[in-house]
Amino acid sequence: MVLLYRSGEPFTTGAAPYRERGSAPGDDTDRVFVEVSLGDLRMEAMLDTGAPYFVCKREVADSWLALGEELNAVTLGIRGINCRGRLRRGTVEVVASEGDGFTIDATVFVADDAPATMPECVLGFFGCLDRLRFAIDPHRQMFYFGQL
Amino acid sequence: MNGALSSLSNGGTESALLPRVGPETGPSSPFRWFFQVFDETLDTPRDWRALPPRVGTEDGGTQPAMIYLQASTQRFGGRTSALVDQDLLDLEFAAERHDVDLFGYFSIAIDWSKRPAADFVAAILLALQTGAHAEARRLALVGREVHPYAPKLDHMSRTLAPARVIGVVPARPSARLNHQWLAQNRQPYVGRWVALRDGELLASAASVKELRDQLANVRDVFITRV
Repeated sequence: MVLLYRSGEPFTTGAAPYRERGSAPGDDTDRVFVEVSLGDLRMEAMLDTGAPYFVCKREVADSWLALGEELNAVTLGIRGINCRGRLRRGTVEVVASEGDGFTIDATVFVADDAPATMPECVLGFFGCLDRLRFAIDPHRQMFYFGQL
Repeated sequence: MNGALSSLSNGGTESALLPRVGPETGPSSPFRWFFQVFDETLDTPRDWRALPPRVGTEDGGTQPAMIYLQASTQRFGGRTSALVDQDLLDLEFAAERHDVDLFGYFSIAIDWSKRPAADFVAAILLALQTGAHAEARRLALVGREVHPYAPKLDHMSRTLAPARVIGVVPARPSARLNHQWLAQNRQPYVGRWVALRDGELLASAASVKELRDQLANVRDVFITRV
């Protein structure tokens, strides 16, 4: 699915339906969840432009990431909440149902003590999604994206 | 905390209480005076912040306090005699408050070209804690330039480097099929985790771990909480 600039240049070249649901059990505020592929694992990640990096819980990382060198244990401030974990690089595919999907080499934060309200995966902006253009159509519940 | 410093933090007279050991001999700080406060003197650097911003000088006046502390072994991972300076304490102060602007203000004022690699590492970790992610990246990149042979900084700069699109992959039509299944069949599975492949249910469970245990192969399997 291609969205075009007025000049005719493509703005986005891929699209996928997204789902609205709470971030975790007990959260009744709808958030935008898009499909991502983490190696063989295909999951949903919450789109959060206020969060940095690609953030996932330890149990997801253990199923996804090969053993590798991780940054020292760090405390990451996400929306004013301290979260302990480790930083490393990882490859995240933003899955398209139409057009092109994209594989991003991004900073990944593996959360060891994620708050209960945090979903399994968060697709953050800084250090991850900031390499894509994207747009949302709430009417069709479609997520459009393209390479910068 | 010892008695002298306790009374100082409670409003004691600076010149009468602060030890006089100066001037400091650092080449870039001719006006700095320092006094050494050993580990047993202060419980934590937080105590240090209770001190006034100015300290007494040998001529009876006062000077801005740029005080180097001997870090406590407990706080700095067993590294004794590591020098902790006001700059890093300022960064820590901002980190504790998640104050990104303040962190940037302090960090940009530091002459990083003269800093050891350990200071970069400490500052990057504080930047991450603050939520100053762009500053963490900047410090990692500067740190690698200043200390090209410091493995830890090299690793940090690679980890915090900007994201890159490294591949274009074809669409996966199953994404729409799985989405349709969720739209049509979600009600009995609300709150549970499901595994779908090409729009068909493979398994459901109360947790991701339980679900993974039921699946021999997760290739092309879409997992989500309903």
